[in-house]
Amino acid sequence: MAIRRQEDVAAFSEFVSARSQALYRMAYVVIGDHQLAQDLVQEALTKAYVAWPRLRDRTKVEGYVRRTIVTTAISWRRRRSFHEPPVEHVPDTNASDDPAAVATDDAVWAHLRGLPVRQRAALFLRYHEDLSEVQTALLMGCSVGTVKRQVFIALGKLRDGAGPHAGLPTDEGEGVAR
Amino acid sequence: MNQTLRDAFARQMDDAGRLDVDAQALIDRGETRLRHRRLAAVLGAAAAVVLVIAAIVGVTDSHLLGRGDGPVDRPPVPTPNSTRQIVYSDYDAHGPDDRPGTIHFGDRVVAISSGFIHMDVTDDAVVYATGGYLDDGRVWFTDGGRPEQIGSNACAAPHGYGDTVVTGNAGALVAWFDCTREHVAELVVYDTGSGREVVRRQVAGCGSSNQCNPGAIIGDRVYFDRGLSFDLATGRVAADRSYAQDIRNNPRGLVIGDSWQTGRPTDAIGQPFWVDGSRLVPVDKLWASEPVPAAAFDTLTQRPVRLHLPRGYQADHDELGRGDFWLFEWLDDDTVALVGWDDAPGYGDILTCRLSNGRCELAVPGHGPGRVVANSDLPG
Repeated sequence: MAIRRQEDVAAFSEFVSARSQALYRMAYVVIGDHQLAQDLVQEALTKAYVAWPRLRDRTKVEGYVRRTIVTTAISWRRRRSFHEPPVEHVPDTNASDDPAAVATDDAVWAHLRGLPVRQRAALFLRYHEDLSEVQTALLMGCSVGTVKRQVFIALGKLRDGAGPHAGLPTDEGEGVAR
Repeated sequence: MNQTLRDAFARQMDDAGRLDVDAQALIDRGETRLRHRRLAAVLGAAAAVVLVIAAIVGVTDSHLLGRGDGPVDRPPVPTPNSTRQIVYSDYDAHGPDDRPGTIHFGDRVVAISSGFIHMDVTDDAVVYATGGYLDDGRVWFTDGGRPEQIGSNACAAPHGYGDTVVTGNAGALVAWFDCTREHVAELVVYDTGSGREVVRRQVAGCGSSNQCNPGAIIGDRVYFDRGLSFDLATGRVAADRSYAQDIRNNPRGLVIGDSWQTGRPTDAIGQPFWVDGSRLVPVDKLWASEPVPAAAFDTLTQRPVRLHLPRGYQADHDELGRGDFWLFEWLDDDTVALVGWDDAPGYGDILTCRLSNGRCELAVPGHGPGRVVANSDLPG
């Protein structure tokens, strides 16, 4: 016999059907690996099921799962075994060799994938999800100052790698919600 | 809205492909977890009853609850060889960005300009790298006295990861990768006992953007990610094939899993423990889709490790996953230090636990945000 009530089971199934694809895409951006993203989503949804009685409001479920994805991805990196297969790294490039060649979506995308999990998550939440610094901090489980720092460092790395003509923000507050 | 970044993320999301989720499988998994927790609560209560009975008749719990075939002899108490100090840094989490702080090295307190640091400990000293917000990657040494710079540019410092500088669980060696030279990362091994570098060499495949991070020093080998190790005795870099055996041969390690023979050897740094009643239960396979409670065996005696919270210590472990601890330091062959996890009610509490009898003590109470310990990533 299930421990959760039937109406909770049905509501959970409906949520999974409606939102799992979007959550998986987000997980993939954060963790950068298909299999790990799949594991992340499944883990976050399982935790949501276990916590369901506290999360009856649909908006709370979404936020809870998204937060679990981000914080679990960060904690997996923290606890990782260094015997995992090497992560594909961005090859050395010299941004000054050919500014036009590197100032492309390909370059930005490649360097984005090379960022650590926290920095990539902070950029994604600020620049794709359009969350404010406070909303981003809540979702990442950290302070606003930490969000600012992660975005600052990440944008610096992207500018260094992709070159000055890549169309990246020149200011950490440019083009995002405050 | 920055369209370049937005397009880059959109492209990455398109690359994700499609995920087919089996909702029923998730429900089954969730139900299993809920049943496990209920069973653990019942077993914990039953075990407590058995212990009370055992105490009354004067029989030790190792005879009633010990594993293995036949009677379990009282395990030998290891003789500590090198004893380490508990190491942590407290800083002002709500203060200025450079976060002045203090390093605590046993009973010594060292004031430093930034407490927001990556740190590790040897038998002699604390070694730490200023990174994170300061992003300068300098490596420092203190034995309780004024800090002294011993390195210039630790590669992993800006990322905030706890493996910027790494040491063994015993001994005087510390390792980091130095990124001072552009596009080149050099492995540096430093002896805090003698105060000198013993290794500095470039490692093929470890450039400044193909970054290598040191993972651990076990015996005479420096293990780093990308599946490689550096042998201090021969000076050679090789594919990592010795880690498991090196751990089993080292007195400061654990084997996590069903048995000593089949479990996963680990130096135990970062090993999480869930709070389950009064017990601290090791967790295995956190990176898999189903992290599970597991057994642990210490490499010195090969006996099961069963840790218990201090008497009267209040800790919660609810469905939101709060309430766990993780092992961050070996103090001697029989004693480990654990710290309460982020967002947990015991956040920052430092426990010391003896493996031979499972008893833990609250060594240093936490005070919320503003503490990092040896081997931890920077918060946030």
